[in-house]
Amino acid sequence: MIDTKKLKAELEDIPNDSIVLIETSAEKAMDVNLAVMKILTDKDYTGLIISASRPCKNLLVLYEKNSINTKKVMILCAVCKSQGGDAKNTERVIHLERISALTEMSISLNEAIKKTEGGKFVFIDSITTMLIYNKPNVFAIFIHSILTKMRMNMVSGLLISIENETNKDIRAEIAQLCDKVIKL
Amino acid sequence: MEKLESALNEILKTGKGNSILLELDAELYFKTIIKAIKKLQKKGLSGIYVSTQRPFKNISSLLKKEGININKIIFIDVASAASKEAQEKCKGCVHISPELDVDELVEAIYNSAEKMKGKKFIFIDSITTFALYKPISESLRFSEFLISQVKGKKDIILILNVAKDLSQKKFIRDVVMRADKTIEIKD
Amino acid sequence: MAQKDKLSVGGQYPQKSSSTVLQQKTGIRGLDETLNGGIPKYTLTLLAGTSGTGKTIFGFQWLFAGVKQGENGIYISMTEPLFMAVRNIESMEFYDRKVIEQEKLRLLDLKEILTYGKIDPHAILEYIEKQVKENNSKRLVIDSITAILYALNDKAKIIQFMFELKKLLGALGCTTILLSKVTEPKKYSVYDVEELVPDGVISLNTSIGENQIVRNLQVIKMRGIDFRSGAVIFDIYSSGILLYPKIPIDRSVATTKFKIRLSSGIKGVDALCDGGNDGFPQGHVIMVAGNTGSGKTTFGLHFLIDGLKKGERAIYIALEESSSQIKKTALEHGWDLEKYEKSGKLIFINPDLIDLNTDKLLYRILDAVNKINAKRVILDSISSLESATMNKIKVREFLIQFSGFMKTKGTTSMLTYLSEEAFGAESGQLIGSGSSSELRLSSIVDGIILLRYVERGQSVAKLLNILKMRGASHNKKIWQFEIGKNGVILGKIFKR
Repeated sequence: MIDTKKLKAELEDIPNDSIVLIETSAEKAMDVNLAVMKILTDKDYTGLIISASRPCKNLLVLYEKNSINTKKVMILCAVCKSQGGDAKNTERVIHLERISALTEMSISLNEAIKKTEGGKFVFIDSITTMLIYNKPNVFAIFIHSILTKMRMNMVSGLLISIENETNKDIRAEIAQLCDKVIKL
Repeated sequence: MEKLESALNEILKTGKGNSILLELDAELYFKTIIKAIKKLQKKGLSGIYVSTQRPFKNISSLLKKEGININKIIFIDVASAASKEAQEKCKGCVHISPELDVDELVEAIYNSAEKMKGKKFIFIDSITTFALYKPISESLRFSEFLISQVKGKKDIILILNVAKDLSQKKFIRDVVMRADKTIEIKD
Repeated sequence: MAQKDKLSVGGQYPQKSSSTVLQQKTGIRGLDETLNGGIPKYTLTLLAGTSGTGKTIFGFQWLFAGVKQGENGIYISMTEPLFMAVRNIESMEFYDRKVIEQEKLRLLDLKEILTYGKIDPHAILEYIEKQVKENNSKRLVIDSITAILYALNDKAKIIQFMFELKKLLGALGCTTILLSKVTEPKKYSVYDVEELVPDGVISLNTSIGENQIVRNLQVIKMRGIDFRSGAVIFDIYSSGILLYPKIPIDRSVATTKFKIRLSSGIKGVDALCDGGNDGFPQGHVIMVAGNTGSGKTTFGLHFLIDGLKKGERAIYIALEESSSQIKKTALEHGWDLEKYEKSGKLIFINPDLIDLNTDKLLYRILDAVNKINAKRVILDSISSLESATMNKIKVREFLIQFSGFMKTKGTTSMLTYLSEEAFGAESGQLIGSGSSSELRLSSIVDGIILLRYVERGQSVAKLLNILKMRGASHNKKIWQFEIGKNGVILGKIFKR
C-alpha cells in the first residue's frame, strides 16, 4: 500500500509546468498510477497518459473501478498494437505503433496537449519499461525533448520509475530534469 | 555550500583556479543550483547561464521566484533549441539554432561575456545534457573554448555541474572540463 | 569467426621457432598474423609514418580492441587538441563512446606541458606513471613522441628519456605504442636514435597509385618473436585498418580429395577427365586456356551453373567483364544467375582493375568463400590479373596461395586464361604454348583444358583437349565442340 496522504501532499503544491519523478517498487507501481490519476483528475486536470506498462483497456477498467473520471483521461497506448491486440483509436485512446516509436509518441503527445483544453498533466508509466525497448541515450534525449515542450506549454508532468531497475545513468539524467523526486 | 563559498572567495582573491565542477545529488539538483547562483550574485557577480536542461521561460521564472535578480543574468537557451521548439525573442535571452552548433554557442557566450562589465560567471547547466545531443569531440571542442576563455582571467569564473550518480562524471571532470576544483554539494 | 578460421590454412601457423613471449592481440586484422600472434606484452613499439599514413587510427583501433579484451588503455595527445583526435575516429565502427565516458580508454592532453620549449622529462614520466596506475592501463599510446623529442632536442637526452619510459611502462605491465611523425618515408624517426630503444618498430607508408593511395605496413623489428618481414598492403575502412599479409599454407592439409568429383556441367567432358570417374576431383584448380572467343567463359558458366543447380554455393570473380555482362551472357544460354545471387548462393567479385592488388583480391575471395562456404569458384581471367598487375611473379604467388586455400576448403576452382598461341592442330604441332608465363602457371594448376581453333575449309571449328589432369587418367584425344544456345556441345574426336 502506498502512502496516499504523502503523495497528495507532495502533489498539492506543484505549480503548472512542474515535472515530478516518482520512484516506487514494481509492486506499488499500479497503486501509484491510480492514486496520481485520482488526485489530479479530482482537481479537474485532464491526464495524458503514455502507457508502456499496461494496455489501455485494462487501464480504463481499473480507473472506472477506482472511481476515476475516465472523461478526464486520454491514453497514448504503446502496448496494444505491438502485442497484436485490438488497436482502434477512439476519443480517449491513441494507439502507438510500439514502445520504441519515440518520434510518433512525441508527435502524438504534442497533438494531444494542443487538443486538450483546460489544466492538464502528462503521466509516463513507466520510464523503466520504456528503457527496456529503447537505447538509454536515445530515450534520455526523448525525455529531455518532451519535458522541454511541456514546460514551454505550461503542462506539468509525472514520470514513474521503478526503484533499482532503472539504468543508473539515465535515472540521474532524468532526475536532474525534474523539479521534484518523490520516493514511495 | 560553505565549500563553494570558500572556493569563490579564493578565486576572487587570487584569480587562480577559476573553473569549478559542482557535484550534486540528482534529486536536489535544481535546488542546489539556485543556492549556488544566489551565492554568486551575493558576491557581486553577473553571469551567463547556459541552460541545456530547461527552456528560458521556465528557468527564468523559477530563479525569479527564488529571489534571484535575473536582470543580471544573460540566458543562453539551448534547451528550446534542442527540442526544436519555436522560440520567442525575450530580453535577457539568447537563442541558438536547433543544430546546437558549438561555434554558434561559443559565439553567443563570447558576445554575452563582452557585454558584461566587472566580475562574471559562466554557468553551464549541464554539460552532460549537452553531450546527449553531440558527439564527444564536440563536447571536447566546446570545453577547449571555455577553458581558453577563463584561464588566467581574474574576472571570470566557470562553473559546471554534474549529477553525482553519472558514471561519466570523472570523464567530464578530468578530460572534458579539466576543472581546477571539484566541490561535492550535499545540501 | 576466429581470425584463424578465416586466414590460416589447416588451422596452424607454421612457426619458424617456438616462442615463450606473451603476445597481445592487436585487434587489427592481418597484423596478428604478420606478427605471428600479436605485439609482445610490456614492450615499447615505435609506429612511424608521415602525415596521413594512419598512425592515429592504428593507435585507437589497438586501444579499443584492448578494452574489448578487458585491458584499459590511455591515449595521450601531445600535439593535436583531443577533440580533433577523437573526431577522426568517431565515424569508425570500432569507436565506442561509452568506453571513453567510462574511462576504460582514458584521453589525456599534455600539449600544454610542451609549449614554449619548457619540458621536464621527469614530470612527464611521473604523470604517465600516475595515470597508468590509476587507470590500471595495460595499453598506452603516445601521439606523438616526436613532440616530446623536439622539446628535448638532444640525442643523449632523447635516448635517456626513452630508456626511462620503456623501463617504467614495462614494470607497470603496460604495452606501449609511440607514434613517430616523420617527414620522409622510409625514415622511422626525426633524430635517427628513437628507433634504437624500442623493442619494436613498425613503419607505415603510402604511395600514389593510379586511382588511389596505396598503403603498406612493414615490421622493421620486433624483439622476441618471429614476424613476417616485407611490406604488407593495408587499407583503412570504416571498420578500421585491414592488413593483407600473405597466407601461409600448410601443405599437409591442402590436398585434393580424389574420391569426390564435381561435374564440369558439360555432357561428355566429365568422362574425358578420368575414364570411368566423372568430373574434376574436389579441390582441383582447373585452367581453361584458349584464344579470344574460344569459349572459356562459357566453360566457366557451365561449371558454375551445374553446382548452383545442385544446391552448391559459388563465387564468380569477374576480371574480364562486369558481373552484369556475365549475367547477361549466362541468360543468353538460359541460366539465370541473378536469382542465385539474390538468394545468397552466388557472390560476384568485380574488383577495380586499376591499382589492383593480388593480396587484397585473395582476401576478398577467401572472405567470400568462407562467408557462404562456396564449393565452386570461377576466376575469369588470370590473364586480366596479369595485365592489371603487370607482375607475373605476383600472379604466380597469388595462384599458389589461392590453390592451397581452395584445397583446404575442399573448393574446386576453374580459372580461365587467354592463351594467344593455341591456334591450329596440325600434325606434329607442339601442343600447348612455349610461352614461359604459361609454363609457370601450368605447374601450379591441377588440370588444363585447352581450347583452340582450326580452319576447316571456309570456316573455323573449335577444338578441346585435356592437356593435364593430376591424379587422373584423362583422355588424350582432341575433340571438336560447338557453342550453341544451350552452351557447349561436345562433338566427335577431331580428325585431320
